[in-house]
Amino acid sequence: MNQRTVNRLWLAATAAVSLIGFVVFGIILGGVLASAVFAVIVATGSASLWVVWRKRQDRKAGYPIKDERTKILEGRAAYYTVFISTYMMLALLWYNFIIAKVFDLPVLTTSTHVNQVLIGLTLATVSVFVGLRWYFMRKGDAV
Amino acid sequence: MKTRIKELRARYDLTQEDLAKKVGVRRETILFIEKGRYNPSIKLAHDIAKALQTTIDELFIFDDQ
Repeated sequence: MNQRTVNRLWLAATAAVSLIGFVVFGIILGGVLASAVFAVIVATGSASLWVVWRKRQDRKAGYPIKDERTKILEGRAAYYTVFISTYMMLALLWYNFIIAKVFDLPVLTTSTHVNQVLIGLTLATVSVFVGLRWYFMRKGDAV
Repeated sequence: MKTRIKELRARYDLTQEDLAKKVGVRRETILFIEKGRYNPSIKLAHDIAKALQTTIDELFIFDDQ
């Protein structure tokens, strides 16, 4: 089985388990938060295992884990992720200051929404980084 | 920027994997350099040129336009 097939199977299994867990927890506990927490734990655990497995495969094959290209492109992805995350946090602030009041929506507070906001921001930031890393790795770096 | 890496690899019967291992980078890096989609550092360009028994000047063809 080649690398690409293993990657796709791994991703599909993670998505399936996360989705099933999300639905089941949603039904049993009746809460989106518990479902989201489960999905985050499964996704994080699966991604960590995949990274460890991939590194072992590369090391066995005699490749370096990171070379100059991966370091440069990961650095670029991280650079853009910082800016995008900042804009996401600013968007939340704007929501609280203006949108929630204008459209009469619930204001996000630490006593009621902190978990949802933290999970949401964490997921969004990780997704942005993974997406940008993938994009830069495919696009290359040529001037 | 164009490169003669593929041509020289063929001359010495080296695969991308072989060259990557010789210069200590990942195979994708060699692939991207060959396609002109990644500009290597001077150090890596030097290492590749050395592995292919040539010079940087001979290996990379810079398009002035």
